[in-house]
Amino acid sequence: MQEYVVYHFDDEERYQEEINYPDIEVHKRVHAEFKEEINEYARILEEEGFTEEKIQELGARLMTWLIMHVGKADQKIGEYVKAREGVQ
Amino acid sequence: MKAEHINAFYTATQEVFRLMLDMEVEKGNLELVEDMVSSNDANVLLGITGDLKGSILFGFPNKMALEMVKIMSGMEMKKIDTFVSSALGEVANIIGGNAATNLTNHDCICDIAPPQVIIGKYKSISMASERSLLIPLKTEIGEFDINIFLAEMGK
Repeated sequence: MQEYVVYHFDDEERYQEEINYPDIEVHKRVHAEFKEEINEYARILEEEGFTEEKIQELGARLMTWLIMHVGKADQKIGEYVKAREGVQ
Repeated sequence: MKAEHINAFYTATQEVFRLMLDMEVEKGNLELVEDMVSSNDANVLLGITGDLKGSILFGFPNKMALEMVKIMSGMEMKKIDTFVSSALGEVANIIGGNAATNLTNHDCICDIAPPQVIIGKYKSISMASERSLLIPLKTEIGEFDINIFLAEMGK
């Protein structure tokens, strides 16, 4: 999953560059913070073992982050693209 | 406590419920209460620091807490386990973050401390001698409340 997070974010950031998305730096920072958090979880899991409690905590964190990020931040990209298409 | 500060938290709650759970939140009659008590089954406490100092306590009944996490995860939840309590903590955390953003529009810079989830009724969380504001809220999956105590710092 650590690999996929990086792969997916890189892809999305490339797309944002292509469309000249104005909020790209903010969005990149949010991605970077999330990557750090995932790495921190990976470190804890490696060091302390895969306890049920930690896995549940990570699951909940992933779920809420994704709902919020896709629902709010990614939605803004869609709105930008739509508005831009409207102008062209 | 100023109405605009209270409203920052109320509108953030509405926003996050709409976005994450696709439902409306309706405000009931506000009440001033003596003590900040976790009167619900699942409670999340947020500490506020910065231009405002205080606490926000969210209280959810058991059934509503389980339903909220079911909506988000698509999985049936039977009890408040670590997954459910972490998810509730995160939702409250996101509400706090959005409220902090709303507060910047009123020239108020605040930080939100990591959420503390308290499971179980009637644990008094007293941190101030002043009274706090209790906002009862209604949704289609149940009623919950937010208890707010905020003091302005150095203004």
